[in-house]
Amino acid sequence: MAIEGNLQDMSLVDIIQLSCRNQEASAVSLSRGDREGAIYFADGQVLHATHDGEEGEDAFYQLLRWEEGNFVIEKGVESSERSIHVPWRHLLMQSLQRIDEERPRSDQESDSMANEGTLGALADRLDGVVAALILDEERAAVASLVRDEAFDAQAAADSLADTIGRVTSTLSTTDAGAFEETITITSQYRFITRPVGRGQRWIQVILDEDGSIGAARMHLAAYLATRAGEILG
Amino acid sequence: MAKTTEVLQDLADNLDSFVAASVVGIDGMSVANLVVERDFDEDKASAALSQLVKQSHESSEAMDAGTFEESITTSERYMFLTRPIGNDRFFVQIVLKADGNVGAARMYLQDYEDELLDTLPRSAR
Repeated sequence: MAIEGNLQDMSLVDIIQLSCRNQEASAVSLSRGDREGAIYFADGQVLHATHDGEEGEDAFYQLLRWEEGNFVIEKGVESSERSIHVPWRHLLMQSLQRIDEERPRSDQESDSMANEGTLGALADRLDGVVAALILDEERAAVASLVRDEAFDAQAAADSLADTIGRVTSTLSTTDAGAFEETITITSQYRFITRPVGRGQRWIQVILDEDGSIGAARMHLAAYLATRAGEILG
Repeated sequence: MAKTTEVLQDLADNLDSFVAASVVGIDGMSVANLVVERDFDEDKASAALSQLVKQSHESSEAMDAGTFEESITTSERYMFLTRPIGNDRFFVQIVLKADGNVGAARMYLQDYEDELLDTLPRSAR
């Protein structure tokens, strides 16, 4: 049975994780305009990737950069070739870090303080950003970036402080371990929140209703993996 | 008509790393649940998540952000998905282990939403 969809609804990172955990032979075919690619899986690993004449890790990396496009997942499809030999988790993290490092950095981004420039650099990587916020340990807003003037950033900061408190309480009650991420979806916006460090700061990205949650999760995680120190100051 | 727990079982069969699923009232009382991990306290989770859902409804209104549709929280051990159904007096929660696939869980939760709703009394829809 084939599963079809759009990368804005289900990110390629999620598809890769799902395919590797299923342990079965499968293939995901991707298309965007006249560009095409495919990734093949078997025994819980990525075996082969193709993208516009390229093969292997470079093709995998190019496909991972896609934030839009259509996919078809087919189970039982086996690849006759193998161009990738590294464990899938390593391949994925390596590719995400490469995506993050290859993006141009502005002068403001080199500022070691958590400020609007830092948020702007993150927002520039995503489509549909309405606003972004950073709260401190006391849950007071220390930086904000608003790209839609109709959006009430102060109300969002107040709400974020309440959400952090409620989620923290929920995780404690359920013995769920450390807080890693929370996403709230409303009919108009998508709010993606992560702690920075051990909760010394909190960062939230707010997208419009068409924004890709998968892309935001991917870029936010990759961004914090390499640059959390700038926000913590 | 299927029972709520039967639909939850069908939903669970599609998900790897499944821990638990419930239909919960906004008052925190579970209407039906399915738990496969013994250590997980579903009653506590339902009570705690109902407060989070209530707060999400209130925040959406305070921010003029439209209707609250879904929340996904990931922690070191678990991933919690909640989605209001029917007249917003109830919500579905799915709990996966932290390595679960959030995209698949969202997709299947949306697929089974109508079936779950059909198992509830007409007054709840």
